[in-house]
Amino acid sequence: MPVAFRDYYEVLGVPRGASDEEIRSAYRKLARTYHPDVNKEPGAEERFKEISEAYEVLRDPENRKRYDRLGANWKAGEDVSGAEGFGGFGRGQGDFGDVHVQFGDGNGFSDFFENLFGGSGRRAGGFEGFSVRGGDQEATLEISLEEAARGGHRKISFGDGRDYEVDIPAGVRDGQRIRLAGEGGRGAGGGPAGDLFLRVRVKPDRRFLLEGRDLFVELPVTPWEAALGATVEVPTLDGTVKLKVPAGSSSGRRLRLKGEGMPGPGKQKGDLFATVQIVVPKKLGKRERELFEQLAEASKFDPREGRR
Amino acid sequence: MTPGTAIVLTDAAALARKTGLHPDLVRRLIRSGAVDPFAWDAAPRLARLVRLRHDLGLNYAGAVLACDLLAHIDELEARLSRLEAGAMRRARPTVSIR
Repeated sequence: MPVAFRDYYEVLGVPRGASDEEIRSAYRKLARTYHPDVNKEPGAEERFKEISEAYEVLRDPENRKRYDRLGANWKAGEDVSGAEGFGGFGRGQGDFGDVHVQFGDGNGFSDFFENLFGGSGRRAGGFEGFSVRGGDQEATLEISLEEAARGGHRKISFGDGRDYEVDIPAGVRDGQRIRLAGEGGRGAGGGPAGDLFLRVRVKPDRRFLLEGRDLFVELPVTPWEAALGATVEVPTLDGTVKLKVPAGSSSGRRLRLKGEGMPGPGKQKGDLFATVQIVVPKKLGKRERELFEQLAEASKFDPREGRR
Repeated sequence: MTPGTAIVLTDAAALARKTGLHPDLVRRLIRSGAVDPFAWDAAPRLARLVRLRHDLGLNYAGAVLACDLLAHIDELEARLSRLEAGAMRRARPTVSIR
């Protein structure tokens, strides 16, 4: 089985002749940057694992010597399985063959590490019986307004190979978190894994504005529909409904459609508000112009009355 | 034993279970004031504290400070993202009418 070589010096960014102090200080610096508790970027945990593995080997004079014996000519990723001094350690050490199972702390060190050191290179942690729960992780899940309203399934892939099928509950709200128990950071020393939280972001919709559970939509009407009243179609989450615009509706008037907003927990539902917006034609036909001119002659209506 | 002590002990056991830490260590950290056992985030905070100490070589005082600062950053980031989401909605023009 091919095993990819890992350049631990390169991982820590130190020369092969680095002193213990230089190695420790390089590790500390990188660990502070990539520690999954500190850095929430995707990939930070993977990077931290690499750094920890490199430090695990180079911090210990025995392990470092064993690693150095492989030689300096390997490049990261090269198949090292046939190399002299490789694979003969660790696994085959009789009594110690199973030790790493007990110490196995779920850190997921590389095949390279496991082949070179088996269980024997691994320390049990800072002190006897060290174990701790892994950290919680959070990612953002962008969904459309329709998905938020109806709920549904969503496949999510992370760069590190984790794939999930997530149930989006109907009526989920912007900012709410969906919890995937035990899918967060790995625990150490047999500690339980943390949780993965998906924070829901409802994408702004082309038509609807969402406020709490209520939806707002613009309702364009003609001047005569607004003046005389009319029944017009209004888009809803599920299609359209007919809405009666009362005679004498000016722009900005809000018409409420009860229960046509976002579904909530249980039977509560938000409302849909249609805001009347009077629209005039950009260009008038001959006949239209005549009629508007007649209307202008005949009408005494002055919306600016009382302002002067 | 006063009733108060009993509550703390029970809580330490529950926290130890949730965090995977040894109960003695949990009790010691509660006594030292590193974590409030009744806080809603006691378990994740405790686990983070021990991870930071173990992985970054911090002492407990440093790890407590780091936990406080990280919690504060989480809070600020959450607030910022709420504000940004709100601003985005307000800035968005209403449906254009053609």
